[in-house]
Amino acid sequence: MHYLAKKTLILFLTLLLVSLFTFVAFHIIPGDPARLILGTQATDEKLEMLRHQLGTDRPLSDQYLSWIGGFLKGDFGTSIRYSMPVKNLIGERLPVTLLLGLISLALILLISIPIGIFSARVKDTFLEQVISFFTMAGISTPGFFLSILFIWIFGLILRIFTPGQYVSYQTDLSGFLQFMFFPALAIAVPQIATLVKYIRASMLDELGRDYVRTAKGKGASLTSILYSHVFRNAVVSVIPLFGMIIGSIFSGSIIVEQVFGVPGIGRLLISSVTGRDFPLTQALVMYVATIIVITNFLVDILIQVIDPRIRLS
Amino acid sequence: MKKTLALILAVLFVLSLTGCKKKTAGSTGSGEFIYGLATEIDNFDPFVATTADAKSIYFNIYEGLTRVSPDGTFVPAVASEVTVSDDAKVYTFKLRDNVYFHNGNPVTMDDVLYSVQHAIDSALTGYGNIASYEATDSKTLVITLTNGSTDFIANASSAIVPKDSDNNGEHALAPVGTGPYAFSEYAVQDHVTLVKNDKYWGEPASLDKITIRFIASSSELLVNYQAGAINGFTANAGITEQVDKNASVINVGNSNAVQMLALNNSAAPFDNVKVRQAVSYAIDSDEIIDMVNYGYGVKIGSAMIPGLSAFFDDSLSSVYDVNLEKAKALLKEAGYPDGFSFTVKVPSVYQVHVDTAQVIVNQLAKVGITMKIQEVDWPTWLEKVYTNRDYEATIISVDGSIASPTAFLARYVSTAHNNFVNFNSADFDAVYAKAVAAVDQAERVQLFKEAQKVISDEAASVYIQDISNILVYTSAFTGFKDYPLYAVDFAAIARAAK
Repeated sequence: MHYLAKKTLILFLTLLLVSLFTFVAFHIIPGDPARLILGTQATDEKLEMLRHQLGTDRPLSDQYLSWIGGFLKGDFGTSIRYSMPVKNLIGERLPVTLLLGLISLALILLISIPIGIFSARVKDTFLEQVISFFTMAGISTPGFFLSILFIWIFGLILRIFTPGQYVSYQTDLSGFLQFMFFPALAIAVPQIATLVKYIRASMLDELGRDYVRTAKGKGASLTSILYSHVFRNAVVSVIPLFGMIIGSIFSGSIIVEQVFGVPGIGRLLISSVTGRDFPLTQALVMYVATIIVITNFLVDILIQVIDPRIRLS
Repeated sequence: MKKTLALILAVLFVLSLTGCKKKTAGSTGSGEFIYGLATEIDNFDPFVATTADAKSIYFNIYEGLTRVSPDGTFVPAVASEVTVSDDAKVYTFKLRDNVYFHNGNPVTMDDVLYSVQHAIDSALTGYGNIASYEATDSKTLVITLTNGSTDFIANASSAIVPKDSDNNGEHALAPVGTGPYAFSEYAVQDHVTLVKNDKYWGEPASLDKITIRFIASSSELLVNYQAGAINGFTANAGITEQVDKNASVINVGNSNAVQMLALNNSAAPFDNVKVRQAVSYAIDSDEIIDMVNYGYGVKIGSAMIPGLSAFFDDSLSSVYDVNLEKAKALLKEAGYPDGFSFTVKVPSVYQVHVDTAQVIVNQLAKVGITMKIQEVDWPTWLEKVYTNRDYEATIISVDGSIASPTAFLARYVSTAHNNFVNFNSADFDAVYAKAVAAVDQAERVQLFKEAQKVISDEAASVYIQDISNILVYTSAFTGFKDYPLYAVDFAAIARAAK
């Protein structure tokens, strides 16, 4: 219990620091939202008027305190760039990004676990070489390049989906999944490759242990040893990786959404930064930070549930 | 628990696979044109959003008392008649009958008076010059200027909106105007839809619906176009080589902006006119147009766009034709026999300017000048370079707020707030003041040409080109018109005859 309380406190402290750092970073970089709206035709008079209207002429400490006050009450403010409540903007996009993340995660688990186990099984064969070639290629290919490649192959040549023609999940679920499959795969591939490597390594590690020799001596088949003993033990060393993988899914989606034209959080984040839209950027950063911090928090707890030998303090 | 999760994941996976059936691309309803735009329009308030792309779209939604026509002249719009006094101080507008807002209400004098006051309050260009305005009767508006200005006919093209329509900033997201298209729907970062205004007073639009889709980057535009997700877009020169020319129309017009290597006239060594001239002689605009724009550009020699043909002085384009000997001699006279080095800050959002910088690096190296390229993002450029003038050189295209020579030349007046090159010439200030005050058209043209010549003589900066605006659209459509300012006239677009 004491451990949980400490962890929770750290969680909130982390989020507070994230908000403070974002605020400071945002005001160190040059750029004035009022000037961006008015462009090169801006006059001092118009700038002053607009800054006052946007509230960016107030002292920085004022701006931060009023932001955090509103945030705690659930009021994320109004987007400077889009003149709409930040809540509505994020609310519309959150399901899109979450679904994209979920499909990616599903693909990652469904593909990496069988391949990881399989590659441990075919150790020292030609097949293992093939798998290790693809995992290396997968790890080293950046998401944006995969996106372009997928759009070209599946969109323009095979015409399996229409690039740029995002289909809303509310109007057409199967059309949505058809479109989202490719961005999800582009996000998943580097993660799959990483995970295959890890699963394989920890499986092999476990396979060399005494209990496997005992099981073999008792006459258990390789398949049954792999699935009922080795995999369960191997998975414990892979779970901490999930904090990182969830983070990578979200950071990956920022770029991939941009390339595929998916109207999710990632695209919004990029335009909020280029538009120097502080309320929107801050809310989005908080959202991403919260997901990552909470995932890591859950992973820490999950490890203990799976392997009672581990006691973190 | 574990099984349920596995089941959900499996279902998701299968669903996403079975979804992969073949679908015909580019199904567009009849009478709809889908235009792709690589920048986002996020504010539709004509009194606030004055960026070129925003203006090009709300050109279709709003009209002023006057509006620009493709040949660059201003014609009456919400007004049916405009009379200008001989000294260009008193403008009399007669309101047109049967002009309706998109909300169905007729335009009244109250709306017009509100719009004029709103333009004054919003400090729109030219409105600071208004001494007084009054409605002499329900159809006649008289505007009196402090200083005579023939430009006000262009200024009067600012939007006429319903009375009290922006008391709480409603314009930004719910614009109401009198134009041929009405605002219908806006989805952030995705699209804006315009529908035909059936009660439009003039020639009605041909298509029922226009959708402007915001595409994340200019390279995605081509992909979207090839996939049929958009019917047309404004392209980079390089992209024209990649579109199917049999099924597309490539319309080349001017972008109506002056691309320049802006030199900070207050920063050494560019405070020396000889150095600026030397740089001008060393730079080969033709090579830039060929290498960066595949030949799609019009060479210029001063701060005026070719689109304003009456005022554009073409002879200035060849004043600084490449002459490396002269450049070296000038550098020697200026005290830099071995050249010098400087940094150019280029806004990274504009690939064309970044590419231009790379060509210029090599051109300047031939006379011993070392140019270092520093890419900065747009917000930084606006603040550091454009506003604070904290730079040595930069590359940018400067557009005009209205189709008038003043929109391009006013910034060279030594005290102008937007004189970001810090140009300071008493000769220019004098001739510009005379030109603005001139009412006689021939005299006005002559004086504005003289003003351009001063800029050229003093080599205020290096003027490169008006980069062509290349509009690519499927041959299923026709009717595109070019304007001497940023505008996409959707009302003129029609389905091509089969």
